[in-house]
Amino acid sequence: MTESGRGSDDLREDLRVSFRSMASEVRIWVVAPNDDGNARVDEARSIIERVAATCTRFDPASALMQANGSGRRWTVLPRECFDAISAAYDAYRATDGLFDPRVLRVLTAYGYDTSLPFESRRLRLSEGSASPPARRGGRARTWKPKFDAEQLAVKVGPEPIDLGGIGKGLAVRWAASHLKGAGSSVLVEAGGDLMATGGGPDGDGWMVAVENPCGGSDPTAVLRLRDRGCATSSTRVRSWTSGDTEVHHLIDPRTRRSADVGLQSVTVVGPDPAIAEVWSKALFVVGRADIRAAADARDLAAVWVDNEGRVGVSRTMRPYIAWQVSRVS
Amino acid sequence: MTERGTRVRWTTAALVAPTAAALFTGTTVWAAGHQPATVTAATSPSVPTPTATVTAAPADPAVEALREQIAANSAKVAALTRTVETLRAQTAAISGVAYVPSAKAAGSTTPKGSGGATSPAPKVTTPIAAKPTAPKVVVTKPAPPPPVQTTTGASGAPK
Repeated sequence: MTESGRGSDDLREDLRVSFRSMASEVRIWVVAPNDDGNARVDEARSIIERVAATCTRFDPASALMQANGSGRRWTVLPRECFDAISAAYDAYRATDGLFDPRVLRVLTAYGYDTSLPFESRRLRLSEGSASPPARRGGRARTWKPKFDAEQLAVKVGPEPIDLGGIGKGLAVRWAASHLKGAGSSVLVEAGGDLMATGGGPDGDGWMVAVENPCGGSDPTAVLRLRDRGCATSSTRVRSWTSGDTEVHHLIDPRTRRSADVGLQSVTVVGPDPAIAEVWSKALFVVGRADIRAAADARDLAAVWVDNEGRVGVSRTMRPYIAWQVSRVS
Repeated sequence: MTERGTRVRWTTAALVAPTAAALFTGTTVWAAGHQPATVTAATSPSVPTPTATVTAAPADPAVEALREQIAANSAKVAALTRTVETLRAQTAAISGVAYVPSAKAAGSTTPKGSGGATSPAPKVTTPIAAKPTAPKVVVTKPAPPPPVQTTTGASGAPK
């Protein structure tokens, strides 16, 4: 779908494209595109779709699931999947394991083993288990995947991995990188992760609303972003009932359960959308009691909403805040 | 001089002399037991008000620095007070509670001036039962959010 985004007085109309991928709406917006704008948008769309195809866990034939099935054996992968697993490993180390993609078995045990229509209704999965499988040995073992950069081969290890969140962030990163210079400003977003480059349609920054996780019409905050990535981890949509237990998709790798930490959502802003995605998850797992200290200690720009609707903002996030409420409901 | 005249004078002297002595003694004793009376303004000679030029002492740099700090901190306090009021208003609006600004108290009923020992007692009047004036209630709503180009939120959420 392509639509024009500016008035007729503009010589170059904005280029806006949206399509469905990675179980989310993907949107690309190029302000004042150059002559090759359409071609570059098409290529950016191809990049996103290649990431989706190779990194999905819902297709048993995908490169990721092939690697998961191989475990300790080498698997040669497409470039996108190899780079995604490599980036996930970097994130795992940077967050001291708070971001850990080895949560696939937990999600599967909760019944989330296929793409589910979370958007339309509250799901109840009677097949799901409230007690996901514990790790062998009872405690988290260090993740040590092996990489062969020349062959683009990987040994994932004994625990299958899920690239759902970071995959979206990487798809946005790579698409936005390809669109750099395609126009005066570019916005790429996919399922809550986005990259906003340039000054936006008005020239003074992209105005990005932070969704109210309680469902209210007004946002939690409005951010003014320029050359910044942004990502949100929230329980608002991907929550369901597994057996008799309310669960969501944000798994605490330490407990191997849905993170019950007093938070509803965490939004992080940073130079890169994939890294913002990683830290939004890691800070969510940190929980309400420690999130401010954790964000400030790492100079992370974060805004969060706790279970009572209280809104918190880290020190580094303040310059991005154009509008904010202190509580939502 | 006649004998009668002599008798009268001695009689008078005998009466007046003890009386004068008693009066003198009495006033002396009284004077010894009392402070001299305060000179009242009406009777005291007018003392010219000194109009000498006060030569300004050279300013102490430390004092000046402290004064500047006081001024700066006062400005900060005022700014913080305004911020607190704004936040209180926003909090009240969000939580649906009426916002009551912390304005200065309504007119004081305390009589001005204190009744000193020599001051006449303030005239006690029964105050008219004024209707309690409730602080002005201002319900503020947060400003509407500015227009946005997109939203970040839960993955898969419809836009």
